[in-house]
Amino acid sequence: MSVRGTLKMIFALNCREASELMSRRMDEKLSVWERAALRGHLLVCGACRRVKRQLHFLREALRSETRAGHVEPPEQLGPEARARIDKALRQQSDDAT
Amino acid sequence: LETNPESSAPREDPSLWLQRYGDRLYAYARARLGDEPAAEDAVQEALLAAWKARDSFRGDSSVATWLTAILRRCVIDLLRKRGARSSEELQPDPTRSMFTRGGHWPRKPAPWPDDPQACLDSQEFWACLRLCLSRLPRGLMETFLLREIDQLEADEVCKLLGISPSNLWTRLHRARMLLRGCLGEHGFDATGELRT
Repeated sequence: MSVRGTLKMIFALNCREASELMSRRMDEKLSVWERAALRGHLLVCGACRRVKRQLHFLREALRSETRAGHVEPPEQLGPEARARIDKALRQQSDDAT
Repeated sequence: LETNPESSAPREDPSLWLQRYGDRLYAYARARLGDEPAAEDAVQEALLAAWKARDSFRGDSSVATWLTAILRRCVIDLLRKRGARSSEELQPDPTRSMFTRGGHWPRKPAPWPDDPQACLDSQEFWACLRLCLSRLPRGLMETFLLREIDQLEADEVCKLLGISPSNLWTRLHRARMLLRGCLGEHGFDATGELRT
């Protein structure tokens, strides 16, 4: 990126771009310029600081020990599939005995 | 047969696992694999594998947790075998409407509760999170679950789904912003109570 482009990024980052950087930072290391731009934006933007805390809270919650049971949308195994799987299981446990 | 379902695996009858945990396991697989037949195959494979490995169950986790860990490996194997299936093409950006034309928040997002632990302990929080997750478009949901619940590294998720890193970042950004927005809309006010 050119020096001009870099400076522009640091000073002109909007909330949308900041949210993209916040999210990407949870998955990989940002470049030094991206980090500087994000830090600068967060310094002056209370809304984005709040959103950043919320995104981190979400990650913590989903990875926490208190995540009791499953968060996946509920589904029901159809009766045919259930019968098929049951048959395969019975066959295998019979073979073992 | 087992006496305590949470401390010992049923040794004689694997059909009991299917009866008790079949739906949960299927929901897990379906959320990650998308189509029904693949999810059914994953459940079958996992239960067969669990039966073979029944002696390795030590009782230090619940049966459900143990079965889910086995299913997780089956799902990852299936995704790997299936190869690139996900399309790089993305739906229209759902986060666009969250910002003004200039890319700023139209108003400051509402605060969430100050006490995260209280949130984690509340049934309402998890119910709300489940609801919000179920509203994610499937392509975003599978990516998000593999990364955040299964805690796979970003490059591993890219390989499994056959997508580029930039596509992954876009999907995760959208999923996180949608979830954040949905939780704010459906659940949280400053006291952490669920609004109805």
